[in-house]
Amino acid sequence: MTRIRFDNPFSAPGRWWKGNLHCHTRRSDGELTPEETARRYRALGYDFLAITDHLRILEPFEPPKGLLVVPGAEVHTVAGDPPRAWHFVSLGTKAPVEGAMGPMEPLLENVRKNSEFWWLAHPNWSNLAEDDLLDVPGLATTEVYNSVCERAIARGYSQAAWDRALAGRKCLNALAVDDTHVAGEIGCGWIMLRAERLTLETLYDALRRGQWYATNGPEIHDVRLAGSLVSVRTSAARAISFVARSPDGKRFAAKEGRSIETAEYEIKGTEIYLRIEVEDSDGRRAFTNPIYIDDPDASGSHGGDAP
Amino acid sequence: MTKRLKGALHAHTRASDGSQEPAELVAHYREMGYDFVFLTDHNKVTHCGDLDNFLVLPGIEVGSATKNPDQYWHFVGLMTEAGATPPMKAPPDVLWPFVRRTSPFGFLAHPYWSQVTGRDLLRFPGLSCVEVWNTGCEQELTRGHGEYPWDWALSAGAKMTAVAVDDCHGFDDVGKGWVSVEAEAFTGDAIVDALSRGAYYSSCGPEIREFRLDGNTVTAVTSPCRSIALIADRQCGKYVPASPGRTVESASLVLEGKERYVRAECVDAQGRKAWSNPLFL
Repeated sequence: MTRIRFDNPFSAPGRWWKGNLHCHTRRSDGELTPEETARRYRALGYDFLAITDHLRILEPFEPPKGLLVVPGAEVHTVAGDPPRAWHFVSLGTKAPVEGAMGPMEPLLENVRKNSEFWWLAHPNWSNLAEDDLLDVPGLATTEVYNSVCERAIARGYSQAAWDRALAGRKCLNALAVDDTHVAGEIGCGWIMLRAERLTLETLYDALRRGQWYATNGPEIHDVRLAGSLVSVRTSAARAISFVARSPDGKRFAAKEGRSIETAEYEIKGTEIYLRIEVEDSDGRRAFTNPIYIDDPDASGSHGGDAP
Repeated sequence: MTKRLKGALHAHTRASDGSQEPAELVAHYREMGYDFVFLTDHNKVTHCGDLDNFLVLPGIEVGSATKNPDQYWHFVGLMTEAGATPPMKAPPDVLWPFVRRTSPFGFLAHPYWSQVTGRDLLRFPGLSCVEVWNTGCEQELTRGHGEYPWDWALSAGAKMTAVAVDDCHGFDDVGKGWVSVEAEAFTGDAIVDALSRGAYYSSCGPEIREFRLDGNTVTAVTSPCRSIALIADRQCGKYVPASPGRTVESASLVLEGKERYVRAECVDAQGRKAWSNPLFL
């Protein structure tokens, strides 16, 4: 029997909350003060914003009404040949450490011990080999889109690394973030988080359970899993893809000059994982978190900490 | 005088698992403005006569799954010897040397579709080209792009070029990814010689008209595009988007001095890409 595991945010109670989880301010190398950054995000309709300055913990301030400000930090080291820039972002961080040229593992151990939720930042920009993600202890979340990495040096997308880890039976969710440093970078990559109420505790809980989708433009209106049939409804798309371990999966593309808004896929049992990726006519993308598919006849099953 | 020639490097016919007869497929490419096509059927060299002012050239695709079903290994050889027969069910470390022995140019096919990583690309002695675009893999599974492993291998010091191909099997995957080669002559040998020297760019639509290094400044000149990127390692590089409603046709980058390579990519209004080969620094 194939076992399908999907903690589906689209069928969970509550509503969608829009937020950016990776953002720098004047406290490290950003342009704006935390107060001004928060004000601008709220003005764009964001419900939550994590301030994740390099090696700094946020000092509390009065946030704009309606915006949950989440304290966080980003730490980094450079290691390996060719050099990998390991950057980890964490929320609810108690003790950020100095970034240093040293091995990744001790840095990560500190992050894991001292935060409520953490993830791996911008694998493509960092020059991580795809299979490097399989070697990160406890890794349950990565960035798949980092707006600043795309806008600065066209290294913002990391699907190849995400998919390699997923095919290697890692349970791994993925975020889209701004990684804001200046005012013009606000509002380019975000997640839609599903929760009944929005507090720090419910946010951490929803993040740990993968209750979001990530996007830099397209909307995903619904995902349903009925038996082995997955169906999705989106905003106008040039293509909707069900991405699985190759050669499973399927891409549905609109005809030239047209768009599509729905697609369906029948799980065969050999996919290992299945995630949905939506591409609009401007090339912007949205990503669901993966559905995990265990086929007991195949070798190996999923590891990792996620669902 | 060199000639700029448009060609297809990865194409299947009914001689293996394609749906078009060789003669039908090559005529199709010729009508689309191509100058040459390599027929690269699975495990066999397919022959088909040249057309008027159009070269039909021999090639082959060989492939295997290893014991690890998470990865596939497909290699394409070009100007392959007539009658070359690959070992069946052989591991990649046997298949790649076979391609090198029988074909003066070869590359690794569709790394993303195959779940082959940048680190894997360093495994094969003499492997110096990979597919950065594969139309069939994109249309089937959204797994047509190969930039990620290519960039990683380049950052590790590999002198690796990349090609865009159709890997066509049917009718709607023909003419969407090609190379534009600067060859010394209109012959298969001259085309393969240019490919070996990296004297070409790859495209799904846009043109790359110039890509050059003057002092420490790299410049790309393209057809009108939505964006141009100059991509390098060690967090260097530059992304140049067009202003809203406009296009961009050139981009320059002053090198920091720590880059091992820099390459150009551009995207047109339809979202189609073109890729230069890297400048190795």
